[in-house]
Amino acid sequence: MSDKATGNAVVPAQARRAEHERARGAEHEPALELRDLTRHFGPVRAVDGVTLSVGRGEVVGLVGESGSGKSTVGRIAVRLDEPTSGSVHIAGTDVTSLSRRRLRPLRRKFHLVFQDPSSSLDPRMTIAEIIAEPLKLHRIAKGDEARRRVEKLLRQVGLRPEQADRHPHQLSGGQRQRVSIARALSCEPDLVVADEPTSALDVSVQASVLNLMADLQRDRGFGCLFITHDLAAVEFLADRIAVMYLGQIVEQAPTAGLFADPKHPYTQALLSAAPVPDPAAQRTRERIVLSGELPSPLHPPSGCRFHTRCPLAVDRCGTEIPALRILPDGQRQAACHLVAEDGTAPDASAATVQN
Amino acid sequence: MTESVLKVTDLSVSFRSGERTVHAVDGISYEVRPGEVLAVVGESGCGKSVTSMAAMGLLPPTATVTGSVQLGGRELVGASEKELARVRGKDLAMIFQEPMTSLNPVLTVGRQVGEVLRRHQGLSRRQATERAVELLDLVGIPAPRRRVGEYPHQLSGGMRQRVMIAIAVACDPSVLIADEPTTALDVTVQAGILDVLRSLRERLGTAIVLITHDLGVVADIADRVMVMYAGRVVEHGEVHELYAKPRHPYTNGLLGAVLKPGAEGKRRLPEIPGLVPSLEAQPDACTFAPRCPRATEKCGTARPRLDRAACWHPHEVEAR
Repeated sequence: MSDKATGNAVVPAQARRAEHERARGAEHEPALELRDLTRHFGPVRAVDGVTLSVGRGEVVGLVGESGSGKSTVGRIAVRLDEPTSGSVHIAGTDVTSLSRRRLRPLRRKFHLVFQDPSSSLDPRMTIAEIIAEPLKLHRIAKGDEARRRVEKLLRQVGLRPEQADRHPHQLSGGQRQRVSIARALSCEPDLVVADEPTSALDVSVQASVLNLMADLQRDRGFGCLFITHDLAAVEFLADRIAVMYLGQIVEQAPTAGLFADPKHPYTQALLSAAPVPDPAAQRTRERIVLSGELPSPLHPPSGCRFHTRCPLAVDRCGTEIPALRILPDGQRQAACHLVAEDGTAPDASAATVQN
Repeated sequence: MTESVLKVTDLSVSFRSGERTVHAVDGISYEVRPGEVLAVVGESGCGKSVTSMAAMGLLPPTATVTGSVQLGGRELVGASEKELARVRGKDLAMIFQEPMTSLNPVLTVGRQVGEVLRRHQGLSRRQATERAVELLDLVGIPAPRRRVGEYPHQLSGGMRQRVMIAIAVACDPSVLIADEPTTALDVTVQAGILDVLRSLRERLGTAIVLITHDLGVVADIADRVMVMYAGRVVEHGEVHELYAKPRHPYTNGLLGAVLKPGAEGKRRLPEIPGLVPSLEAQPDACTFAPRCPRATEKCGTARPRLDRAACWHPHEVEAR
């Protein structure tokens, strides 16, 4: 409710101007800033206190398994959903509780790419119409100018100009995802939230879409929140990774550091469970087997939410909530009682080894 | 060498749709021996699922199936629905990607596991329930005696898939076809399901045909691998050998494009340019040739025979 100052009576044109000025003064603001976000669906605490920022031109990977709340965070970040509490700032503007009408002019600044391009593209529209739609809605371009922009975007995402007049069903899954990406980038957004953009694609197609996203991100410099369960994909694309478990972030680190030295036992388990495509290596790896199942977010465990499945849990873990604390290197965060003051991580594989 | 339990010979499947005919599977052959895990690998549309649906007799009437599928010496192609019904679920069982759509939401888990036993083994309701408890225990479901009375929606995705496996192995089938059994599951859950499949193979000697697109899963569990492309087998071999020294350029491309967790850094991923061909023709040519970096004129005019790889210019042993 921090936008009360601008009032409800402001006419849209003035609001737009005001937003514009505020945004200009905020060039150095992060592309996305989530502060202490919670989202409760009735008694279900889907997201419970997430603080995360995505810098301009930075790719942040948000990793977690089903039910971790990662997609809910993504939906809130692009205001497809409203948080129960906490705030969402996009490029310095508080969008947490803006009305639909006030939000509309801002929507050009952020865009969501969904997992399944066949259900997020209108089957009755041509590819050109799909890509041009945001340009028209935001009155950025129309007519020949829009057409020129669409052609350029098609080229940039690796599609041929003659495909502009096709319909989504005439394209392959990988090509459809390229169309989604072109649409997301048409208004030159500050922030792209991509929710499992490559999960429905085949291996070879996934490689080309990931390459494309890396290229575009480098050229255009948009901030990107990349939500996925695929650790290898996130390692490829992200500068920094946040790991979620049961509605909370349990660890955050620069990509290389997270893979080289995962601190939280859950991160360690996750990394050890992802099979590597090399039979000799895969069959000799140590695997951390988690006991039990993901607890219900209706009744999250007391203390550390992971303690019911953690192979290393001690008494304290069941009673005392571990804070997400900054480790001595200043770049990493972990929420675990067993991570030492100097940042030394516990070794979950020592507790349950199974190869 | 032990006798193979499942022997597929020159299997072809085509679908008619109006004027068009789509050749989903084009002359594939393979065998599986008891206790062996054969992975069938390929991207969407390569025919890997259609192959097993044909074996199970689960294809719609628009499909034309030719060739032979022999299960323990019994021919399944062209078998009557009655004959197939005796085989399905008993000697040949199948599990699918999404357990929720394969389970009946209004029946308890115990009832669904028991149904197969009552049907094929003539057990009484009580005997079937007792056996269901044992089976749930076998697939690693905790507190099986309580779980038999629960409904599918009360279970997690991983537990549901375990129930599907329990149903599939209830009658101790000689072959289990698993079509993307872990694709819808989280990695930590996936690891558990793969352990269950491994233990079935070891304890019951079940032969497993694992259909998947996930090269990590294949590396974890398969003994042999068969790589399919556009309805044909392009390469097959022992798993270590095939990963270390792929011969077919498509296999090589796939293994190059797959992401390796813990080893990514900021490299550029090798891509396979171009698109999968239309399946309307069965050309006397290599169907991968238009996308292949090694293709020559010959590849466009003659279909390569499958040796280890179906390729005129395979990568030699030292490649990669």
